[in-house]
Amino acid sequence: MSFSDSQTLTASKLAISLVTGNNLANSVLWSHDDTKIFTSNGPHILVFDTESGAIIHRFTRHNDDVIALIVNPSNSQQLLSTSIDGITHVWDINDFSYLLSIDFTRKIHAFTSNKDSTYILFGNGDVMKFPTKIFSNHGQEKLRKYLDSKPPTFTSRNSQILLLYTNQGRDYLITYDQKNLVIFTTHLQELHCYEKSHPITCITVSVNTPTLAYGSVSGRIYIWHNFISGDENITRLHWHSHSVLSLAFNCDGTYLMSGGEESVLVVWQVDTLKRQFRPRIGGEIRGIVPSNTDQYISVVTSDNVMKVFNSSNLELAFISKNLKYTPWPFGMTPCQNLDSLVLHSSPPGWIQVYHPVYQTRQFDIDVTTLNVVSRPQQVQLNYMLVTHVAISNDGLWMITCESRYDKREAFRELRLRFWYYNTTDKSYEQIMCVDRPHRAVCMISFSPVVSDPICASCGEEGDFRIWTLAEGKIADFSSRLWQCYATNSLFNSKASHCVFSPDAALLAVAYKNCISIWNTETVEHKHNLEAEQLRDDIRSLVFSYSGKDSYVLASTMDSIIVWDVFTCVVKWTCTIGNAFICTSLHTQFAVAISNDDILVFDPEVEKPIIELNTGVKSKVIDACFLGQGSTLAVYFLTEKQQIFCLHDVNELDFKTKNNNLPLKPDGLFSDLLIGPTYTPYVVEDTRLFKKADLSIFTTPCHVLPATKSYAWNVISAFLQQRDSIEDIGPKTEEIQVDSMDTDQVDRYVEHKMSGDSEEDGIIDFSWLDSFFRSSEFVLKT
Amino acid sequence: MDSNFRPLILHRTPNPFKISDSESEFWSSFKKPFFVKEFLPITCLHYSPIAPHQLAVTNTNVIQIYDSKDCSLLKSITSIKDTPFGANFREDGKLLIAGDSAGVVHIFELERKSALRKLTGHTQPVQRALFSSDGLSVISCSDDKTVRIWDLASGDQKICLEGHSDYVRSGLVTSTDHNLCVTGSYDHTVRLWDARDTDCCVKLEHGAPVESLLMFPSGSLLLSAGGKTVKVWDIRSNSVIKEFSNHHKTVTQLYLSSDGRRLFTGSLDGLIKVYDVTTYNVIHAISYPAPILCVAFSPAQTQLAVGMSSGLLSVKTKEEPPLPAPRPRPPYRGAYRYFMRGKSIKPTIETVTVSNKAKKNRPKYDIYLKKFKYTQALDAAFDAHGPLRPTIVMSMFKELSRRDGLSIALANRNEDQLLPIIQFIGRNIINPKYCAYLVEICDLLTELYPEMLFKSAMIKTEMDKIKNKISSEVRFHKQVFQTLGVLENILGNSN
Repeated sequence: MSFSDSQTLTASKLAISLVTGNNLANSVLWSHDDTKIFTSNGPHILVFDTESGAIIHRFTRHNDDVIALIVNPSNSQQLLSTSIDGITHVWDINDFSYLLSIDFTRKIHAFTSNKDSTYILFGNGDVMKFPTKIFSNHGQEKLRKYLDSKPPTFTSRNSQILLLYTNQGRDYLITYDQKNLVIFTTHLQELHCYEKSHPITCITVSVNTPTLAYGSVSGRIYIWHNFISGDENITRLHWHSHSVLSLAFNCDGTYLMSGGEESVLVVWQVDTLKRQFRPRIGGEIRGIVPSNTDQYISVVTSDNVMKVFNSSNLELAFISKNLKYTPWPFGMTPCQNLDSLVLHSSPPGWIQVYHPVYQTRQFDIDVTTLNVVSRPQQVQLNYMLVTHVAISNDGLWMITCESRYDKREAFRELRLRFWYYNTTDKSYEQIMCVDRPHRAVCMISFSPVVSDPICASCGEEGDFRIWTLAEGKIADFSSRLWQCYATNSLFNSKASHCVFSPDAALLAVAYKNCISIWNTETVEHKHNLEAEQLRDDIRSLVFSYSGKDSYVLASTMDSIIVWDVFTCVVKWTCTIGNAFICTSLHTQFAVAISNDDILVFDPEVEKPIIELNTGVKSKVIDACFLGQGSTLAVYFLTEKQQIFCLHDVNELDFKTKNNNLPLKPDGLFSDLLIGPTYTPYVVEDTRLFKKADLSIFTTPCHVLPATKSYAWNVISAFLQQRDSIEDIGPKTEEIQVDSMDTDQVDRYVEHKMSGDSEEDGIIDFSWLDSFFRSSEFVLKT
Repeated sequence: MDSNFRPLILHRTPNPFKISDSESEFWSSFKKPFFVKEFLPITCLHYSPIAPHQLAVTNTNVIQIYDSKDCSLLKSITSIKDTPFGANFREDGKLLIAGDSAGVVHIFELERKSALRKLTGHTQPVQRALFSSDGLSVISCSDDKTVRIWDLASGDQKICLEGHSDYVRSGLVTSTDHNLCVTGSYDHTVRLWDARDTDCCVKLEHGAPVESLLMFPSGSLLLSAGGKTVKVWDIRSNSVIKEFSNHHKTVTQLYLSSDGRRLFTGSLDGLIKVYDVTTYNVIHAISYPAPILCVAFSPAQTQLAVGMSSGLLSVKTKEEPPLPAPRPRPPYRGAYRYFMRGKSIKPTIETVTVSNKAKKNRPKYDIYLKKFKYTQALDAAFDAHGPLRPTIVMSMFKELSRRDGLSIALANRNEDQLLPIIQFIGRNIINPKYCAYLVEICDLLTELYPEMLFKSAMIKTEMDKIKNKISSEVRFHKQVFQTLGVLENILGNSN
């Protein structure tokens, strides 16, 4: 770990890239033949294959959230994608190639288009009309002309949605603003505004019939038949108890699909008003889009998952494998054996295992196995949430903590569950469950030593518990059950963090304004680490893995503090607020990530090696190292549930990486971070004997046969008398000569004595060997 | 993510772990007791060291040899006219030695009935006679206070060791040196002798008439039993390193299992106790109906023989794992079993399973929960029967609380509908598992029914019952705490 080493690590070699972005819900588009689905995912556009449900491509050219996806009305083989910053790209649907882009140079809220005209709702509320032919070559120049000269068609201040209905060459633009439904007829240049009793939440229009449907906060759905006539011929439907969040007509307008907070997809037959239900969709329904041939229905839920149903029987065809969102983000945990991140996800009580390099969700685990129940009216339900997850370094063990806060004290719930990785099922299976181990769990962490799994948990009441595997005893679960090995506390105040040292010999537990160091084995309090900067706000606490000296790193509201564990002295401090520090077995460097800055530093050296700007607009809520060797990278999660990655600029390039491409094996971030001289931290197995002990070591010595008889047996096992050899084996000359020479013994003894005196008490036993060789005993072969 | 309805999770509290002790597990497999009822006390038991480990049983009349496998009587040695004592085998299992009440030591060859040697010289009964560890000489302990060593080949007396001042009733030879022997006497001493010298080498004071002696294979630790106590001696330093007394009557026999892991003591109080040889803690105890005179544990560790003063001989044999059951005959065509073939076959990964879309039989409360009918769901939970009822009801309370439906489920009930809830609370409120929850439910009920709880006669009596139960429980807790305080006080003072 020389300094020259860290000089190879420069800011220019590191890059921050977005692993996964914002909501899908903004727009879903079916290709004209229903074989592909295009969805926006923040600035990315994902393409799903309808048959397999796999992500077959990502468009990553946009720099801001994509708000609209449309098949080019003049060419069905082209895709128009518009992002919020005013840029529209044109892509080829078949080979996914980029064709051209048009820059509207203004913020766009909505975008709609038909064969002749394109209507755009800009950020300032202006709706403008453009000819669709601008989405061809030289479109940019034509566009500039329009932008400069044309006045806005009409202005709608607060709307976000713009729908277009075309009938006999006449265009009707529909939008809404709170309680007002706004319809603009282009051939008459008339603006009609209809005020409703409840705020409108969603709106849809049938493609082929002049039927308009809108949902309201009250849960009612209104179908307005033949709206172009202006007569308010309205059918009112009521099933939803909460606000309707999405509506869609099928192709011929005979069915209306609705969904809302209840997570139930309702299919209404428009003529008879008969209903079909598809309950337990998994989250609030935000976007329903039927396919062009009416074979499928895609439903996007608020947890950022798209589900595709067969429209005939409402059975699930596939679920998209992108990152799920949750209204309750608590953090993420690296799972080293699956190269994945474990995140909390919606529905409440679930966790997801997400592969950041392939950008797919590997599997979900239902931790609580509870029904997700929609709230009663005007009440907010407290769900059972997974608040903490800890995974051992080999990925075999996982501990989850779930809790629920109830206004009735007795009904509060808190559980620790222990999981074991089942290699045949490739998933975790639950081993046991502990009810209320603490008043509230603040932290669970595993020891980095894989051979002997230990885990610690600490709680609000100030106690920490050390959990170990229970040995044998209980049938069936032999050595797979956990038990509380010890519990202790220093204060009655909240123990906010606990972490094991790299060799698991020490446990650091953070209290209000000190960090206590404990011996793991004996659970003795060793000493306290204190500092001026330390207040009741420790954000993260880690041990460093750098070389011989052990450091404890803690970050607070305004600084990072580094202690030397052996001297208990503050080594250095650095002012950076609210940083998450992460360390890894595979590198000596530590990375601190705050909302604005990233510091890469070596705990031994006071000055950070690299300072970077995160360029992330939202708050960082967790960070961790994942991978090893060439895939080692730092992932960090923001409040908006975007996952970013700090990696080598040359290698882990997510923007170009296709989903199914295997990882490149060599040369990466790790080379820079680790350096040539650094060897990964090796954790030694300190146990003297493995479990397969010889029984001789466990038998009490006085029960064993007398040592004398032992010795004789052992020696006689190795030796046999010379005569017997002579009897059996062929006589060789050498043996004959030696066996006759009885004086030799004395000579060797003399030699030994003289050797003793010469070398000052160092006894040379080499004579013994030759003694045995030459005397009347020979070694058995 | 599957979209099936998840049934109500029943929160069953685990039963306290039965810490299964490996020792009790070991002994629980010793079944098939075999009893022989003799008329006279059984004084000595000894297993042949050589397989098939025949058992020599000495009772007051006769020496009998039993087969250890099926406990059948192989032969009886009746040639001793007087009362025989202490029959035991030589290391090679070919010779048997016994003393008698006339002071003669008999040596038998097992094949023949008549004695091979008769060693005469003792003037009083010989209760203990044994072969030396090299098998070439014989040591006899007699009530005439002497110990004599005989040459087996010639039958001559080699040496007479005098020193004990009372009956010598126990003796052993050390496995490490065939010249050394240890004897214990009713004069409260244990003496170590060297056959090459008439003087006693070591004399240990046990403090009670010595009934039995035992030496660990290492040859350095000696155990002596006399009275109620057992003492462990280090004969190199002649000191007691451990003393224990776990019987309330005289300990009659010490025995060490062949692997040296278990130490047995048998006592007149009718108990066999098994000890851990490292700590000398009792790890198991077996009780018998009469005072125990002798114990033997077969060298294969599969049989425990106990002789009692009532003449009862008990032999317990370890059960072998049963042989696999023979394959059942294939069913006849047309039989019911014929059509049910393959019912229990589990599908493997490759198997294509055709799922049976039968509707699941859900309990009623789950059906109501699925339909969000909380009141009916709670009623259905109360309608459940059997030992799971409290668990179902409590789980339902928790689930309703999770759905914020507790007050919905409890509200708008009339007297009859409220009664089962109040009765349930009354029955379970002092159960520590449910107490906290039920107190909350009580609070909620008093909020919801401020009048009905105390006006309706039926409910008022139930409420009074709850009140009484709680106040008696509180009283009980107070007493327990008082007792605890007193105990703490006593313990504090004793320190």
